[in-house]
Amino acid sequence: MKTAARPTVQELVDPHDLANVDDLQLVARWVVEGFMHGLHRSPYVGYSVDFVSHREYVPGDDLRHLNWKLFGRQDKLYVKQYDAETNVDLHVVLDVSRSMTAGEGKLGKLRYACLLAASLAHLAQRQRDAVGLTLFAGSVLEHYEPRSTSDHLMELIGALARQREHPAADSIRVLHEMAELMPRRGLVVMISDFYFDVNELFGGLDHFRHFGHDVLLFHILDPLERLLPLDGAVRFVDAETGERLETLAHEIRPGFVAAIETWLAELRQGCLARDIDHVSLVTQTPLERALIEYFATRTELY
Amino acid sequence: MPSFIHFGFLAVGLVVGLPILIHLMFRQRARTVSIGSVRFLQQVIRRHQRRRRVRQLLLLLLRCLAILLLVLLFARPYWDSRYRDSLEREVVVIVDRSASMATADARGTTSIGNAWRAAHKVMAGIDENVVVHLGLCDAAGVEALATATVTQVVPATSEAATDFGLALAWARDVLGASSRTDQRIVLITDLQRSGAGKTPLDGVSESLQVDIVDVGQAISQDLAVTSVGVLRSELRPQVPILLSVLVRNNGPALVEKVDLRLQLQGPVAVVESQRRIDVPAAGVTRVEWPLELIDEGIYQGHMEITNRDAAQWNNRRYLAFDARPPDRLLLVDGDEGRAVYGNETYYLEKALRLAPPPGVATARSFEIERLVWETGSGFPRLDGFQAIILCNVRRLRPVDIERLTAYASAGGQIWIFAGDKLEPESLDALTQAGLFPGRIARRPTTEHGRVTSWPKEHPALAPFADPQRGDLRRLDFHKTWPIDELAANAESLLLTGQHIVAAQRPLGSGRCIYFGWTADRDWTDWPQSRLYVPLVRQFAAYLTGQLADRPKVQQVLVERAGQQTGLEQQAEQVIVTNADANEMVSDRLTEEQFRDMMGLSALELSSEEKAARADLALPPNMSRPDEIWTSVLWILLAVLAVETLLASRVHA
Repeated sequence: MKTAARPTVQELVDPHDLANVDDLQLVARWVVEGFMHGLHRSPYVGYSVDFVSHREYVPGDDLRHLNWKLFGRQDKLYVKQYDAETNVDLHVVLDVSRSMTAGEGKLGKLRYACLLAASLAHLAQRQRDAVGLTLFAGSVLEHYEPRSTSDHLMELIGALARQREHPAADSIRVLHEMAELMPRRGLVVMISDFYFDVNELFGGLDHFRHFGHDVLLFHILDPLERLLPLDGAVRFVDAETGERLETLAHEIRPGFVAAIETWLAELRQGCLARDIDHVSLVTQTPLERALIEYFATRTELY
Repeated sequence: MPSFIHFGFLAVGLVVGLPILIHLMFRQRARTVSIGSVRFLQQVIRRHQRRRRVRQLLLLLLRCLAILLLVLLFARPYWDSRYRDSLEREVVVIVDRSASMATADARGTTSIGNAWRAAHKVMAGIDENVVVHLGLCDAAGVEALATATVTQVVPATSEAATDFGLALAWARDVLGASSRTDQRIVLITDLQRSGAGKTPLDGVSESLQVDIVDVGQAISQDLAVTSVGVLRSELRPQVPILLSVLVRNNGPALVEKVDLRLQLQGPVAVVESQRRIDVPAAGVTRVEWPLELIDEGIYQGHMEITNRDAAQWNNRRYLAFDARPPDRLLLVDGDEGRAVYGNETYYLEKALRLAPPPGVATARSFEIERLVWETGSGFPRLDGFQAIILCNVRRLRPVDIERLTAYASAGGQIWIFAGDKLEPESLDALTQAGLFPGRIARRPTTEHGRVTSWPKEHPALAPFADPQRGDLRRLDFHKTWPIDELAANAESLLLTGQHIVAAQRPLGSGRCIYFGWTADRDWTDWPQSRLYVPLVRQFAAYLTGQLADRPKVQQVLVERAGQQTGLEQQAEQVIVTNADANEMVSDRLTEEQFRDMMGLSALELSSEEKAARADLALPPNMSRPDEIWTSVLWILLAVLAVETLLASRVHA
């Protein structure tokens, strides 16, 4: 089993990444009055535990709400605006199976996924949401119940950064087990490459939906797995099964990309039918941009 | 079927394994990449797998094929399809062996040598089921040979001229006797122009394929003695014998300092003479060659060019001639007359003294001596005269008769003309002596007479058998002295109705001729007739032996198979055999001209057959026209191009 390069704790709590995420509001889709979480908005901007956005400083604003960091970056004064929000349990479900260790470059899939998971955990913690973490492969490897304390956040980040084995996962039926571990409704963010049987996947996701969870899928793929930017003879090794396949990459590229697109379309279609958000990412996509793009879209909807 | 010039190179075909080895040793190494799942790759690859394997296999095959083609290229394959297997094919191969085929190039290779090699090539390419005939042709005809002889020594050329008509007629007859439907004639020749048009060629079907192989050679220098003639062969004091020589230059450039050498074997000694001449380009030089000869007899030898050139066979020409003094005639004038033109022998002498036209060597002149009988003292020595002509001689004494009889018995010729002074008693004595042709009438007759008949086959009278040459019936006489009764062995020559007015009688080797009229115009106006000179000279030539059946020298051309040029003695005759002068004219035809002149249809050949024909005339050890290496090369290039294209798309 290949052990991928793990993000260090420092990377996980990289302020730069987190600072960018600070501008985004973690929004749940379902209205609290409907199923306890979803998208919550405070009708007024006040002192709340979460800030929502910035506005330019005008004389008379409370200087305690100035965002000095932003001033340092942009040399302009902004004040934070806050929305009161109902706390939401964020369940980050991270696929740490062997397939996630595949990928080349500085930022592999697993690293990217861990960074994303940490960003989400941090954001949630800032919003005083409880954040839980489940690491799975073919089975649940580690599970952390949602909590909103900073210690808990560090524990989660530590779990993300920890070196571990990456077993193969030939089935996603573990989702059912995970769903049972999260009886309380919340926002389930699943981060994986989703190299699973589609029917099994949607079966598991339906289980989450049954419990009323708002589900968000971050589909992480390596550029190799998305575009196959290689030429010549290549020997592909399946990270999950170890199966080898030798071919001329440039010859099969068009067919491969088409197959991936078909697969992604199928997933999107399935998610759309289940009111599940599906965000397709490649590891080259800057993490912050990925989150911004998602939350901007989510804000438009809600 | 295909074959190879260099079979050994096929062993290099083992190198065909090289691409396989390269394929195994230098397979492109693939980089290894980890991917989350290969299932999508599998979907795609499954579709491409078969096509990829086919491409790989095709690539391997192309490389092996390229190696194989390269090996074939060096092995120089050829497709020998000029004469395909056929049970319906019959081929006649004719090789020209005329004298002109002895022409050689600078390396000494003769046209006959090239022709023989060409024949060998042609026959080597013929399947064993094809019936093949082989022949050597010249103007004497065609000599059929066994086909196996084509592998033997090159045959010698003949000295005969060329006659394509004879050759093709022979081939036509050979093929005409065959039931095979696919018939072809192969004529290997130098296309000498003189050979076309001699013998007409009829009965050649248009479907009969006549293949012409031209082995003629371009020559830079060819001198030939085309003619040696005798203009003057009479021995006369201070008058040399005169020969005429024609030397031809077939080359394109003037040739200077051509050495001519004459060698003759005379009756006593050898005569040799040399001269140096210049001969213009593609022209003829005529040389008059005087010889100071004194010995009477046959001279025989040759004239030759001693310079070396491409065609030695035409540098010599043989000649022979009979050198003798002119015939001496004794005119015995029985009536001198008052004026010169009034004597009995005036017209006769004038006619006999006429000189033969120049260049007519066989015609001899006469040396005339005139004796006035009445004032003379009898006959002089008679043995130096070829003929004695007695014109109106009154009387012959017994001694004269004895001498005449002795003279005639020794071969002398006597010619007697009648006249007023003739005494019949004298002639009776000659008749008794067996000399005169009969009993003369007692007196002449004044009955007008005209020649009515004469022996047409008599040598002296044969030319007058054709009235166009002179009608003897126009000879008329107002007085004649006929013969009443012919002697036993006499024969009549001219008759006027019932009268024998001319007769002859042999005696030993000699003879006596009697004309029953005067030699002058007393009894007839025949001297004014245009028949006078030819009749007089005919009889004079008859009496002096110029009209003999067998001349001492006979000129012939090579016409029979095996006949060679040169000199040959046959009994009393010298046979001079020379080659046809036309064969020495180096004027060649193109194939199109030849076909047009011989009435042959054009041969439609494929490009391979044309190349094959061109190759037949090439010296050995040069490329074959039926080699297919160019095709192999193009195929190899195409294979390499496809391999390069495919290799860029296939993982080796």
